Amino acid sequence: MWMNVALVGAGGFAGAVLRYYISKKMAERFQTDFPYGTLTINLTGSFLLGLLIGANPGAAVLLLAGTGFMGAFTTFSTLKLESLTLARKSLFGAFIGYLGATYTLGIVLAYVGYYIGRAL
Amino acid sequence: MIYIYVGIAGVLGALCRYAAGLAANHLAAALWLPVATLLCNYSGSFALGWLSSGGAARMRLSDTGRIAVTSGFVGSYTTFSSFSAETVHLLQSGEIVAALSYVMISLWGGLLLAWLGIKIGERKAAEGGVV
Repeated sequence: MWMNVALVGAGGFAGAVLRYYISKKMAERFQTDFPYGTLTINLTGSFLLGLLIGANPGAAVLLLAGTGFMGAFTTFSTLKLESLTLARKSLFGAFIGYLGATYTLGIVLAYVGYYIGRAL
Repeated sequence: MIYIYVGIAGVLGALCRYAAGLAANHLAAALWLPVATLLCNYSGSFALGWLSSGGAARMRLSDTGRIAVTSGFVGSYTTFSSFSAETVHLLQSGEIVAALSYVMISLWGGLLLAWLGIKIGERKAAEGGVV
């Protein structure tokens, strides 16, 4: 029980810090309304979680790297807030593009990751 | 230093999500959709909308505190990778209707809750009341 808590917590620490770092750096680099940082994070994380589940490395690694790290690294709330910010600025093309790219590519990449992981 | 606060808040967010998952496991057989992730994503979207539109100010959070709660806690509490992996799992199990429903419920429901959070935060901010 406490071992599992420690694994999820350690993964969560690293995932949250890395997400904060990457979104900050990408926001500085791409001075645009389009949230490239969160998009990159959510797509990368979806692929890697698919890979991890496919590779089936055991319960402890899944808790640390899956539930903890990938769970905290990727985010849903920021995706929603950023989408609404685009809509409220009347950037409807970007609104549709952002949601469409995140959901479509996220699920496809998780699928591809899963099959690569199973083949490993 | 901000990274330490974001990280500690991220630990708490991940553990709350883990606890929600464990609680839902006990009901798993009766459940059609991955409700633990859905509930975390819904409640987190509402909370982030509220915090970003006056909620953080009313809680009298410093800039550091606000970033720790929003990017650290709520960001870590909600997740997109689990959503993707769960959708793939439903598709592979042949649960096409459940997979499509899960995507639509997450997509539009999450937007609606974030929007409600923003509206409630803005209304309270306009009233000028300090809660």
